[in-house]
Amino acid sequence: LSTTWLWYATRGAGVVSLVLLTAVVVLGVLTVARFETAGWPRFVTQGLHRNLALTSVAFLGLHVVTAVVDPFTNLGWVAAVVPFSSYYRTFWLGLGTVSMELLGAVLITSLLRPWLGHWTWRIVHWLAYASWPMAVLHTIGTGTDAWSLWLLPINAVCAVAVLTAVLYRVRIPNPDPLAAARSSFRAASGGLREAG
Amino acid sequence: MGQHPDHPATRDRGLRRVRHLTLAATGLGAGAVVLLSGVAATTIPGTSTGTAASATASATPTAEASSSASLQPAASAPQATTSTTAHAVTGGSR
Repeated sequence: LSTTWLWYATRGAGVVSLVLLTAVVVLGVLTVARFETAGWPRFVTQGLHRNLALTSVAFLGLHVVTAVVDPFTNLGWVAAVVPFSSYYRTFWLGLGTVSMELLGAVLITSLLRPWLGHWTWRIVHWLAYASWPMAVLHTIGTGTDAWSLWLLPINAVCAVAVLTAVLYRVRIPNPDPLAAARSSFRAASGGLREAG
Repeated sequence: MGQHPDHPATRDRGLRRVRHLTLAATGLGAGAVVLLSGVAATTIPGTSTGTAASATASATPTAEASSSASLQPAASAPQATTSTTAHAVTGGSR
């Protein structure tokens, strides 16, 4: 039995992981934009964002494990953890490693959110905006089939989806109608705490 | 007009939707891994179907022969042959 199935599984899991990561980013942007309709309350967006993030990490794990154990590339676990240390397509593979680690930071800080400050969590969460394009570039640069008829449209749809969501978010002047009231309340309560 | 998001019925319906969509995404993802693996198997150069393998095999010698035949005919041609053979044995150029 040939071990080429490991490579095919790597490609498949990698693409599914990218599609799910794209969905997670889009849902995250929609959460910040406070998107909702009558049949789609905001907590559905948030819940789906969280669940798909975990699902995406599971497929990412499959992608990494099958790539590392594949004897063709013989990557080794160090290359999967230390960016740009692989002899095989060093730069493009390194982008994938960095993307994975940024995603790991986002995931871990999200799980530890109750023990972290809101702003610490939020700043780390912004790393997702760096993780996603790196994953796309990794997809384009690492595989020999990046420009094939099946993968090119997937990459294009992912890019259009994220760009549309970001543009939607940017065009909304202030998604939180109570932002001003909230910040003045925080300032006042902070002042009271300091005074007390 | 829908009910308020905090209404228990709306909340239950929303949570059920999250669960169903998550399960659907996981199932579709697993199916897609299998499907895309199959698609990749037919498109990656040098794999078992041989569609792209033949393209690689024919393109490499042509380029080598036309560009460097007059300069290093003996050195370049055997290298190309060795490389193609090695990839064919291990499962193709990836």
